[in-house]
Amino acid sequence: MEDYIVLCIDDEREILDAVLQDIDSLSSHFILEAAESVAEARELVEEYSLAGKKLALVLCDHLMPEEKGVDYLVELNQNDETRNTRKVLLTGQAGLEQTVDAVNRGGLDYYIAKPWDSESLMQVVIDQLTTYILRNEENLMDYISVLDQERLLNAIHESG
Amino acid sequence: MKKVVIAILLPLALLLIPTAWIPIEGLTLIEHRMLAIFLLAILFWVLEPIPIFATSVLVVGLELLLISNKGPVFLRTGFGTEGFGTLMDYSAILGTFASPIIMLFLGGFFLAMAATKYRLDTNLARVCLRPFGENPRMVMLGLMLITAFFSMFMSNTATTALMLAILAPVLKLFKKDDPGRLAFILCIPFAANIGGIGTPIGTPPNAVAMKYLAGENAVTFSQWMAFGIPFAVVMLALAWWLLLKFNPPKETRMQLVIKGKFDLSWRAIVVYVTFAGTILLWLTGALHGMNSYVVAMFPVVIFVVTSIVGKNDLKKISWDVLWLITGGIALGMGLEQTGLSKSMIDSVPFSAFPPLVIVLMVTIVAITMSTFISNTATANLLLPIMAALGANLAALESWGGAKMLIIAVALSCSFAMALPVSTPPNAMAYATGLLDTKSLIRAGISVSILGLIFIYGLMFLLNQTGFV
Repeated sequence: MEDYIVLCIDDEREILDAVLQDIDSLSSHFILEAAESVAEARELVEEYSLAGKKLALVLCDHLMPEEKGVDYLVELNQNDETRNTRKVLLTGQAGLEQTVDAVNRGGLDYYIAKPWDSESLMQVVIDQLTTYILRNEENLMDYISVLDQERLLNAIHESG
Repeated sequence: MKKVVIAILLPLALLLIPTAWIPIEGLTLIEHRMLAIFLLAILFWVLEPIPIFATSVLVVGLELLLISNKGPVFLRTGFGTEGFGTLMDYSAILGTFASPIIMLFLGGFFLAMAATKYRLDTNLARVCLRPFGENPRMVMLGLMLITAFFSMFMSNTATTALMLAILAPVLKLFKKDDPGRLAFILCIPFAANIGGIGTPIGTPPNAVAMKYLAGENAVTFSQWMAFGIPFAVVMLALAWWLLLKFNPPKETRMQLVIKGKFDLSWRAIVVYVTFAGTILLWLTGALHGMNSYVVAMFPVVIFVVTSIVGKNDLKKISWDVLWLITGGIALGMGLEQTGLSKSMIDSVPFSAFPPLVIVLMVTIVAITMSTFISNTATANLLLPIMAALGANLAALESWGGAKMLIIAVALSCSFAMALPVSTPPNAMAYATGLLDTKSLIRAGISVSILGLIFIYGLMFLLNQTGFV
């Protein structure tokens, strides 16, 4: 268990704390991490990757002082190890051009506009993680208690 | 890591000590090696340092290497001399991968796979649940009967997943303090476990048992069903009553919503007809002379020829389950053909015990083991010993002999349901988060004990009617 990471990237500490609090109930099955910049995120992912942990979901802000969120999503999408990572933008300030870029080249899976409400954020995270687990994990049973039960049970049923 | 070391070092030590040190009289070198393989199988299946099906494959590999007639030459020097023992035919060991039992299970897989692909199972559940109305007690009975019926032909795991997917959204509407939630979430895995005993392919331990129910102890598919299904129905009724008694639902109405309608494409109809036809042929073996193994090829051939099961579907076959059974068959074959199982039985003074105490002991061992480890692994380890024990214990003869012992132990394996780890259906129900360990243990142990008592009753009945 805890083979997968959920990573939140935002330059504002309060936002990171709020997101982590919203998705705290997943901490029993996922490693929840926060990074204040893309550089820090990159370092974290690399570190975990050495320990065999995979990045399942990234919740990324776009407008940050140094590197921009969308560029990092594109980078993740071009990397074999993180191509399957579910990619979510959690931002208030991505323009049309960057958003299109995120969809086309960054493999964006979902866009959450700031401000968000806790419940729907959790719903999106569960939904994205369920998709990730269904595609990348053999042992679905372990995730029934925290992710989308119906989708996981149906998958177990279909796989015999 | 410690587990792996123990599981490898102990059998290795046993393998390397001189044969004379082992307190089994007249042990040959081959039997000695087989004993080490058997010890390794026990440790690996109990400690599970690797997946249980991997242990099975390891057993086959070790048998080929250590006790087959085509192992490395240096392991065969001395063959024919006193105390060496008999080597096993390598092709018989390899043949376990495609033994008729495996093919029977494969046929079951094809039926289940096609039924799921064309949503026959979901649609059957929808139609069959309707007559049970909206009274929770009746809905529960309906759910249990359908779950049990499906698990006679589909894997208990897939059946539980299907039924929990239908049930879980409705249970969320129940009030948190309604004991009915508990009753419902428990009724599915219990029914799946109990349903598994209905047919030889209902659950892997039955298939392993069928391997030993050969020759004069032979049991046909329909004979198994003739006692298995009534027994399952009685146990279902008991479990239903028990669950409701201890967890009466407060909710007075509930509605299960299952969407969909029957697929009427020609392929779907072929699936329906084949499904019904195969079961019918299994039941009527005495009429047409085709045994269950031959009948099991009908769904395989029909679905492949009609592309109902295509190349990609083939990849979905649960090879792990098939190979788990293979390992059990290979282990049993090794124990029997090297003569080790008989030597082991002879070295324990079983005849000093009253025969019924022995039945009591082995069934309790079986149910206890499979409460903690895989039911199939338990059957793989115990049933070859039971076959030898039954064949060599004259006092047991009047109580049904090997046949009775094998069926009783196989059924006992299916009644282990006290813990989340006891069976995959239990684990799945537990994983929904609607169930706490204490409630599961309480209800599970009750059903386990009732199950054991009724198994004794069934055996007595089968003995009285002259079946065993």
